Amino acid sequence: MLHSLRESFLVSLLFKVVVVTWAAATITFIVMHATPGTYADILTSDLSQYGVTPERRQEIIAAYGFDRPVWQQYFLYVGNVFRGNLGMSYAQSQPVAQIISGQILPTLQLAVAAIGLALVLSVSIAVATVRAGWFGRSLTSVLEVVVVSVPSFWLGLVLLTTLSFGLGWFPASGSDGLRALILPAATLAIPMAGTFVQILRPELQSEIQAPYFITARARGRRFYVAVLGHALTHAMLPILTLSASYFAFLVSGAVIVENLFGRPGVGRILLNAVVIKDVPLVSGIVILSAVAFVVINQSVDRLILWIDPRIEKR
Amino acid sequence: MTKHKLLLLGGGIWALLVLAALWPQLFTIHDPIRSNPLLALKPLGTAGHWLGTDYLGRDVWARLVHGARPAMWMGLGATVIALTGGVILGLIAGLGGKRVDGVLNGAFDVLFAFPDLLLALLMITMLGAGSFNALLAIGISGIPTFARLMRGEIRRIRNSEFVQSSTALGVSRRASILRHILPNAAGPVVVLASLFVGRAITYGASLSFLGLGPARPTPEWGLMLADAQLYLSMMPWLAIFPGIAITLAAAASVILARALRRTSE
Repeated sequence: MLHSLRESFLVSLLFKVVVVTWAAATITFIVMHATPGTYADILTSDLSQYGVTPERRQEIIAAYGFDRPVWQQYFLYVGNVFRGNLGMSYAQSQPVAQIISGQILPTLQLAVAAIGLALVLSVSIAVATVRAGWFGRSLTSVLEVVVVSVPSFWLGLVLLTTLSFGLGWFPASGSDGLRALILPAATLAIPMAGTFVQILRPELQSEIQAPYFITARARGRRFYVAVLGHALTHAMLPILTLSASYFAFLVSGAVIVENLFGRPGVGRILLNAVVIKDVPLVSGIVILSAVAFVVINQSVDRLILWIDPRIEKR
Repeated sequence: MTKHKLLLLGGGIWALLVLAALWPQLFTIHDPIRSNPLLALKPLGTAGHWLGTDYLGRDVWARLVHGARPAMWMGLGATVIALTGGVILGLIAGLGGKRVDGVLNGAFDVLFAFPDLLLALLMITMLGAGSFNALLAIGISGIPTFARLMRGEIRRIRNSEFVQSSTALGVSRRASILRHILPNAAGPVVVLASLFVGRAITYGASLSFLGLGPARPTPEWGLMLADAQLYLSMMPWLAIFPGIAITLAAAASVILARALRRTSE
């Protein structure tokens, strides 16, 4: 039973990955052909301003089959994407996959640090205010508004101004060491923590009225020990379910934060690629993030079922 | 807060913003664009320029006030695009047959896998930077969100008891769509639209902060923030005020959405 469940999960995951990859490849193919100033220019004009040599242009034309009919190019492109070949960057003479894999590590570090910090912040706030009635309610309702309204690039600027220029606690830019990671991660973590608290607090409040919690208390568990030991595990589940929305948030956040703090990473090369219209590089990042989204979401759904099997019955 | 207080607060901020967008001269006499090197980087509290001036000697308050117009354009324009596209697609999926719904809903699901800022960036790669292109990109990337909501609402109402019984009583399909389904689906869609206005303003400012929106010297909040980056250590307020403006505009739309949600409940 368990075995078949795992298999069906892998099959459905594979199916979804294939569908999303195909859709992403199709969308980016359309963009590639609708983009003025790339497709036609590569065939006709001088791209040396972007560092494209005539030999490189011939390579591009051959690699994408730009001299063939459109439908052939489409199948060539989609086939390449499925084989992990995301094409060559127009501007940098390197395969897109290679460029991205060279930049993915700092972005992953940023994302993991941001999620970790958001969890620590939100759990502390939620646990500390779970028994505060009026204060807690107004805190959550203010947070609801603030979190959605404060733009993250401005939050980053404010953190830079106060903690880096004002107090000199953290470096303003760069990527070496943990200290350079804290401000960028906090910029992303604070809005996320705001969202988490809004979910965690009411969940915790209903958990501490559950029979199992009252039993634990009656057996002499201290309140906060029982909250951390029992209630929190349950209250965390809805946060996992939301992983879809914060994945999107982290991807767009990386674009802003990496450029604001001068950190290397996928967000930085993405913005650069958008500006110089390096369509294959932009497309590659879009395709990869869509696939990552599907894998993360399906895995989280599976994880939640494993943690709390009751959910399947609902 | 009560529903009425929320409406008053959100609506009040909005009224001020709309006023500033339509008649900025009501709030400031200074030109937001013409530079004056002699007045560059005046601090807070300078007579005549109470919020100081920027690196080109332009009045910061004047630029903030005139920044309301591009923000309103972005917020309302992008929302109109997302709303129109989303409602039409959602209607087709929700009212269409099983096959149409299957295909469209599959497409919404797939599109949902793309973070909306990435979709917007992809579109800007295609169209190029600029304020109208940014508006178009943000609007189009919001279509799937509206379409999913609209479809879900229509399905829910179609299967609800009162519509089923009205059909059983012989109410025609057309009348049931016009009189029951659409009015009931409108509530949540209006709430989302109100939320989306704020999100579009924030996204628009982010894009222009990244250099993908309107060009200098447009008085635009994201651009003001981008310019303020150089003066963070000396004159941090240059970065504080535009941020407050964006936050206020976005918060007003969130507050309004909450009030509307309570009204529709």
